[in-house]
Amino acid sequence: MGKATIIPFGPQHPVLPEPLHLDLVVQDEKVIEAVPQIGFIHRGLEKLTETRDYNQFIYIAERICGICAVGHSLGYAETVEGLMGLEVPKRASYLRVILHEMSRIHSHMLWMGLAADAFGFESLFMHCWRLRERVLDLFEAMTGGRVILSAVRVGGMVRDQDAATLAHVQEVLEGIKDEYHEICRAFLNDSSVRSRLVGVGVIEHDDAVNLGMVGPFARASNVVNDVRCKGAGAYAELSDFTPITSNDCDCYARVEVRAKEILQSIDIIEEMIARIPEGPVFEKPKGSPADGAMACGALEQPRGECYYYAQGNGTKYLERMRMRTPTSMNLAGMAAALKGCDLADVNMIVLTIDPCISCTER
Amino acid sequence: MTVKQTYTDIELAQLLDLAAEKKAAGYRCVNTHCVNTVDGVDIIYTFVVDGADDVYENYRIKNVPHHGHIPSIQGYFPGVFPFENETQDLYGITVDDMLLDFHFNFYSTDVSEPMTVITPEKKAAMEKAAKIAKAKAAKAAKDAKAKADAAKAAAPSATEEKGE
Repeated sequence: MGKATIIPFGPQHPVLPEPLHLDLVVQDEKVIEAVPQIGFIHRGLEKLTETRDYNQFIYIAERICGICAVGHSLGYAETVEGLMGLEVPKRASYLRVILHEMSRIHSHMLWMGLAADAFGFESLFMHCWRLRERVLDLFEAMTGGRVILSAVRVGGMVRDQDAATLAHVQEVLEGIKDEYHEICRAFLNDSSVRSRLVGVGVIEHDDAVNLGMVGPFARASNVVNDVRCKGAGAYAELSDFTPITSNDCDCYARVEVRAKEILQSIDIIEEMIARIPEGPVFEKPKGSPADGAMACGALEQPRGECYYYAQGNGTKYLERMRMRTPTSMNLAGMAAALKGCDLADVNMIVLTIDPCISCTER
Repeated sequence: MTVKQTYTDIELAQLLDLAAEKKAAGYRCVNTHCVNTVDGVDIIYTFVVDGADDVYENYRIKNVPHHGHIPSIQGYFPGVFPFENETQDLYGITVDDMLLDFHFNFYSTDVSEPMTVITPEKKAAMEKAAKIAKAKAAKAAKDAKAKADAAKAAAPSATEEKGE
């Protein structure tokens, strides 16, 4: 038995798009303990509610993270609407779900590209990001922005989408679907991919529940936890929704869940476009959140459940806005998954939780 | 999306029993966070049990003194370690007996306990809100007095009735 050594991993590392530090206690090339540390990019965004009113803060909220920009603006808007008892027009709810699911597609494709890059499959990485560009093109056609969309506001949407644009979205997504099946085949069936992922970083179902894991990371351990099941907003109008889960509990299962969720999101968007009602997309909010009023909301971000809390103080400024992001709930799970793994597998395991540190630190 | 939610105030002494009870009942701890107030810090714990009727149960401990101590619930819910360390760093509340304790070094911040700092903007907003509330109360008292005087003037007094 060799001597235990502490190997620092990150905060700057080729596999990490954002700074995360791990102290890996290693013995004979096996990780016996991993202590995660974040805190390098804390921006104090929640404090800014003191200087931005509830309408202005949505632009801060969507800048929490470039990948989940739509989700954060949506989660914030819905929580403030709950705080003020504001009913959003139905068409706006549909448009929000369409944009949010498109955001999930581009986030998962980005992640799949990064995963392919991490296990050395460069052409697969390029194909994933090539397809993702087409989703970003759709964002640009719909809102004028590719990353920060500023499409959602408290009370509804900034602008409506005409039938031609929605038909174009549907057409492009259908095209993506065909090409995506080819990429999926490589991800899920290729022997070199499977050899890097199968049986690596296993988290059993009971451990996933105990650690409070959320999102695809939890669903890959067969935890049925998806906020979309609660059927709030336009998700209630879906004819059927069953979260995608896997029993395998390893890195491969996490890839499989995300790969299938992209196709599920395309189906949701197509259903929303087919059933979107006519009508206004904005209801102007009146007054300010009442003093002492509290509301919480939850949203299924690409990485899992994101929790929002807002408290009013009788002015147009919120007393408190809290955003608890999915990665912060998954850090304990990541540390558990790293225990006992080979040192060479650390980068794959870290990546399969799809960490978003800028979200987590806010 | 807004979800079904409840809010309950609890005492600090009840926290560990509550955590044990929720853990035994299969809940997960969704979040813990703080709200800075003039009298201290309110700490809110949110629990949910997936499946049943999915109610987000929020429990609030009011007015924990600035620089006070609270017990850690990491023993029941290990996933909350980022929030408890955040509570230490951003609010200056010491969380006792944490399994993973970064000793006030989880976030690197220029200002210590930044979320308890009352900025000039916040102070101005608070003073404005207090002034408005005071003016509203004064106006309401004045209106009530005027109404009472008018009612008094309209009703014939008992002595006048006797005189007639």
